[in-house]
Amino acid sequence: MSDPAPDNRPVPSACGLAELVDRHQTGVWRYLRALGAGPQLAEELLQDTFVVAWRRGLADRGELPVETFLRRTAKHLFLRQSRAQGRRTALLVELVDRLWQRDCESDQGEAWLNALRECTQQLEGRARAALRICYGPGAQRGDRGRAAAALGMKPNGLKTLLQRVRALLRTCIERRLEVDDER
Amino acid sequence: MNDDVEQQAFWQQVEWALGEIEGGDLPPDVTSRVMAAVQGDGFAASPIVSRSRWLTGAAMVVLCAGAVVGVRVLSRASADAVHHEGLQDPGTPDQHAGAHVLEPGTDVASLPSDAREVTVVHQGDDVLQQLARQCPRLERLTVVSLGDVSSSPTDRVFEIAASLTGLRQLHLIKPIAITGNGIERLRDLPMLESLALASTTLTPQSFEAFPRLPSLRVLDLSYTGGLDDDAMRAVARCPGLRQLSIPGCKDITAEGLALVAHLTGLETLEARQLKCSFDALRIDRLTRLEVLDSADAAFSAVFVDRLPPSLTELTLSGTALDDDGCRVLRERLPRLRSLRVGSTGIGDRGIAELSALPDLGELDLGRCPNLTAACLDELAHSDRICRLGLGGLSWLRLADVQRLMARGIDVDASGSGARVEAEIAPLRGRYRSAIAARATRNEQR
Repeated sequence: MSDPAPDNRPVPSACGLAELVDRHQTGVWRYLRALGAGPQLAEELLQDTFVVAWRRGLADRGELPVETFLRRTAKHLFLRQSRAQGRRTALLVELVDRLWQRDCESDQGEAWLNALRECTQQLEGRARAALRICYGPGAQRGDRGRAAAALGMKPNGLKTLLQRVRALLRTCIERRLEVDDER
Repeated sequence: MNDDVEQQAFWQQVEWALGEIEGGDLPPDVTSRVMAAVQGDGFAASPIVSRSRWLTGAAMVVLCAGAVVGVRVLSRASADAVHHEGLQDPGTPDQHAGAHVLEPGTDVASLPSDAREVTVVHQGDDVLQQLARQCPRLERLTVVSLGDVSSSPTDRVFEIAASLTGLRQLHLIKPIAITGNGIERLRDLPMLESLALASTTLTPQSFEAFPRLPSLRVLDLSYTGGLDDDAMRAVARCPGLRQLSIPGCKDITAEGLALVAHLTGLETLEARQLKCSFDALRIDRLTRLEVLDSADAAFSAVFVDRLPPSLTELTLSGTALDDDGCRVLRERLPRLRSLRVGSTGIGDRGIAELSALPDLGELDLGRCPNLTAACLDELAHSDRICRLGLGGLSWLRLADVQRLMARGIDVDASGSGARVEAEIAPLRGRYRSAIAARATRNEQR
């Protein structure tokens, strides 16, 4: 894992900017995905984040670390892009932001991903198959009907199963992250 | 409402992560696109860089003016130049931006000043210096020396390349007069994504330059002398690398190879013909790895057990892979599309395992001594395999090849006996449409 950028870094040169993009792009992309952007939208917003941040002058960010500055820019772009900005959306984005800072900020979400990876490996039978079908390569996330049919279930049954799986995963991830923290 | 939204926030996090783990929605690399967008701004936001941009701009004007004058003066020599426009990059709108080949006896001045891609064959520093002046907007430069000292560039090539500020790719193939002195000059190239220093011998200090190249994504050090464990420590400090080629670098030990696990963004790893064991390499940490070539390398069950499920192309030819290993491949690598396992110990039982891989379209089984004609039944019934390598199998008959081709499987049977080889070409013609139909069907999947 690369070291975080020091707060008082001077304005990056072309080389510095490339290095900065390389260092932070994974974290910013994952953050945008967590906010609710699909892979393609997240990629577009990721590029815009760096360009906008650059044009706004990375040097003018005050005391903010680069990472926080980029995340705020990304959040702003995401909110501007999503048309329905009700109270719920704004609250959701704030909660995702808080979760991100708590669990993922220090390592761009690597430990969180590893915890999830280990937890999914513990799943068996239908629960494992449901995850593969709903989130595996080529999965059509919106088409739960087809996924349910592939599992020989009704759509509501799949919905309940996924809710149960997510609850299991949540408990498992939190336990694993706690263990990691104690280490 | 807060509890409900809080739960949704957590689930959104689970959703992106599952997309990444299960669905292969991996973080993209936008470095080049960001750099291109910001280049358009001319780095106006940075006063320090603005000044250098001014100087660069002035230098470009001078160079271009020089090039125009040069073209006029030397235009009569232009007929001698060899231009291979057929290799033109479809993404480049400029009609002069195709790939050019500069061979001995051709005139640099005949190249268009806005050439983006040039391959230089058998030429030394002077020609490269002229080329940099003539084509200041070069983006891709390949220099091929083919092991001839008199026509190989020297270490001055790094200084010359550093003057080409838009360079994205620098490939130096068999430049035997190069030792790596001055390679740090490449730091001045913010867009340099791809660097090859193949079949040469570099000083230990040269490798320290790699981590300082901010945009480096592809590093080819095939058969390069001096690449030992210390050098691998420097290579492992290039976190942006997507492709690493170190075949034939026999000074690397298991300890040095283990450092590759630090390159977590790696998508392609060419590590064939290494002498060391792969057991110390936690290759399972390379979760984005799609292409792996570890042919003719030390091999073990531990290594196969760790292969990352993201792999789509795998070469294990010449290793000790056996039928049990094939079972592990089938269980661990559901996305495999291409597999080369020639000259291994696999037998007919292994073929049954490999045939069950859901996306396998290309399979090379040449020179596997344990295979018998019985495996052809399994292969003929596969509805995925499009290309099959069966070279060097003495039991293969023309009728076997015909049976496979009739089902749309293109067969390479080179070295299977003179008669078979000579008669395969007409068969391929006869079954062309079946082969094309199967390949199209597979691509559409």
